[in-house]
Amino acid sequence: MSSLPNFFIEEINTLLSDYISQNEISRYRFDKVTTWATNIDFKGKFSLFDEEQLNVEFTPADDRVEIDKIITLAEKNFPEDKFYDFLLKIGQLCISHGKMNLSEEIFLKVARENENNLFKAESLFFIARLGTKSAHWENSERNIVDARNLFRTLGEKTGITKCENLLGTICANQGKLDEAEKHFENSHKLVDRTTEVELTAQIEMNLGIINNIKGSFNKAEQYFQSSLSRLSEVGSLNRIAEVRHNLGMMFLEQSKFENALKEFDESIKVSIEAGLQPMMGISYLCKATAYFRMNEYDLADAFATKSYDICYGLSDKQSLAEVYKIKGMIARLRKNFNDSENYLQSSLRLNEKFRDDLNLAETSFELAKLYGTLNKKTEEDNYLNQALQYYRKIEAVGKIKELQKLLDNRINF
Amino acid sequence: MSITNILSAELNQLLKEYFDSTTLNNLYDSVRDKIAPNFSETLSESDRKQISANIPNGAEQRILLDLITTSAKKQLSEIKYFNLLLKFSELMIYNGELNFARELAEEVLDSTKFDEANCKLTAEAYLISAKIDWSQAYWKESTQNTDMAYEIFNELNDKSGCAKCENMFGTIFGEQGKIKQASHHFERGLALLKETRNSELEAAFEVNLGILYTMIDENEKALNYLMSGLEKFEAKQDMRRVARINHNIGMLHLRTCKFEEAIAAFDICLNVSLDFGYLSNCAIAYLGKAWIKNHLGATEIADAFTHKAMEIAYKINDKLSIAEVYRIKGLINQNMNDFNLSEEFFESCVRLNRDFDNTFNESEGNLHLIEIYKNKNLLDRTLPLVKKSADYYNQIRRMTAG
Repeated sequence: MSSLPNFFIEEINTLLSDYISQNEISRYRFDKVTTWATNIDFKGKFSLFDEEQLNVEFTPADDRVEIDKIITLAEKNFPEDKFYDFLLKIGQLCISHGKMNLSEEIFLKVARENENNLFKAESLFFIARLGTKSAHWENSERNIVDARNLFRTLGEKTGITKCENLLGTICANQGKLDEAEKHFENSHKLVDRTTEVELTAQIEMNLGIINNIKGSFNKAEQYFQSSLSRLSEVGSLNRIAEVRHNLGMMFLEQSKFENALKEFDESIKVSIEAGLQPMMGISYLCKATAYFRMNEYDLADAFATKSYDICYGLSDKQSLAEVYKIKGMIARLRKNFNDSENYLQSSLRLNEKFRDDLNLAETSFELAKLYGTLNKKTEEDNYLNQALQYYRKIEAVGKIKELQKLLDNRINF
Repeated sequence: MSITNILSAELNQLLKEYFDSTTLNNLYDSVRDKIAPNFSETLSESDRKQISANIPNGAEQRILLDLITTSAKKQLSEIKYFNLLLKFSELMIYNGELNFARELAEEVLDSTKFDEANCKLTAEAYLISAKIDWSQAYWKESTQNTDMAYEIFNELNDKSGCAKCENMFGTIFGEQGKIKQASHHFERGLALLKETRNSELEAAFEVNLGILYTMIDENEKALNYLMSGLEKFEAKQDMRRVARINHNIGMLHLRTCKFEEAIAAFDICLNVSLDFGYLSNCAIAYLGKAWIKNHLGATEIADAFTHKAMEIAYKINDKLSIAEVYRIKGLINQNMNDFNLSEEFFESCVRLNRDFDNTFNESEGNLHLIEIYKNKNLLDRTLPLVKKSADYYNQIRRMTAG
């Protein structure tokens, strides 16, 4: 059943009538959206294992009551330093569990109530980290710089390293791979590998991700394995799920689908056990991509839809854009070309806002394929060239060659 | 399958690092079992429908608007497109989809803020951003955004725009219980409106003045303003406002102990809002009903309404409503003679209101705590709270007298 309110579509319709004609409005096909989540009846159709993953549910409000009560008790009973230290821990727990608004509220409280000390620096760092999750790059960078300055004043090397690592993440999320790699390498040099095991593992995982995107799979795997072995030492479930997921991404990139699915399932299993919603949202999404590439379109659709539901609640807009891309790809292969175009264009529009060059390249390439199928040669050429430009920007050598070859063949033909 | 208990287990683990087990047991009487309502009392059909209402998660609304926006961007002129985005953003505020509402307003801001030709749109986008901040109790950010909008409207000599900003300033102060400042801004806004004709804005001012007079118990004046505003918005068939004003009328009746009239007004608000998906109205109307049910001794139903309000308030990140949920939970448990749990809820209510500078609600919460401490014979704890509340209420009284 659709979860749209009874009169929502009617209200949108009325609102739109001030801007476009009724004929145009009828083209929007509101029914399409109401069937978004319901057109996949997966009961008995998929494996029990997949069905169980698709049926996971959340009841977030009850958690907030409990956390509020704990914070009130802690504020009443703890000395100030212990209280703020405690808040930082609870805030991090909230991030892992996808309670982004609550974690922001907690970190803002710490930042507001502390001046020029370690608590303020730590809270600014986490506010920056939250910003990266919702693609607010400028705010995020501003907060990292403030946090880093405070860490420097305090001589806090670990803090400076964390900031460097997060700057790398921001660059990577925008497809600035070389810049990202520099930040990660700097933080790898700065980190104390004996005492900061989890941070070291995190940096190595990030270096693995960059190498994977660049196609250096051996190097990527080395980083991931090293990261995994460090994390097993400290037993960090959250990070283990992340590395497993990234190993899956590496196998996916190499078209080793069974291996990729195995890693995604491992990541999902850990995430469900530990209640790590952000990780689940991303792993579901990549599982959808794997199923798509294995020509399992119903499964791909079901996992993409579930991923959307989770990522929407987390305000993870980059993943929403990615879901539109997969939905567009599935619609193209099911010959629903209008839907395909609208999904892919929506993905492109969102990615333009996030300035995510890698996703812009991939979505442009998908649009080129769609227009190719529809025999719209001008549009196909435009989007092929656009994809090529984005791939050049991020220096994705393999993809540049592939596209260049494709374009050359078209000109020769 | 539900994964909600995992966080609870992790929290307990974390607490063990900070509390010794004896203190932990004394302090932390897990509320989880007491969160979910369990009611055996007879429900009316309308109450049952409201309690079991399906709260949309918002994902489908976003999909629909994303797809429309993509098409609209290609078809509409730039100005029309940005106007549409702002309309969508406003709608999403009412529907409680604040992150999405902000994203839409930000798109307009990013595209127009260095473009003089479209600066009115920039001002409107700032004002919508202010509303998004306001609804989450981010007063500083809300004030900054309103300032930005005011500056632009002022440069354009746009009196209606400036009046809208005064209305926003007044609303921000009103929500914090700073009645004198709120009233000052509403007066300035009304003065600006004399120079321009904007019946919709006039009605908005009337409603806000109605709310303000309700807070200081000038009930007749309050009702006149609210009814006049309601009439105007009904004529315009603005259902968002109609629903919200019915809530405000319900609150006025509640304060004057006309419970049947209050329930009727809350029901109108809830039924319209559930149909249209105006979640921001739903949370507060559920709370109004919960207070009355509890006051009339129907604690189980009151608890069920409070639970529903929490479900929505959490989803839309309405922190002041969350604080209000804790106040009502405190009252319900007080009614059930569970003074320890009641105290814990009142304390959380006061803490949140203090964190978000809502002096009016903080004082109300303190009054409840005073009562609990008296019941528990903890008189030394009451003194600072009595002084704090007395200071605030004296301030309000001085303002009313003036």
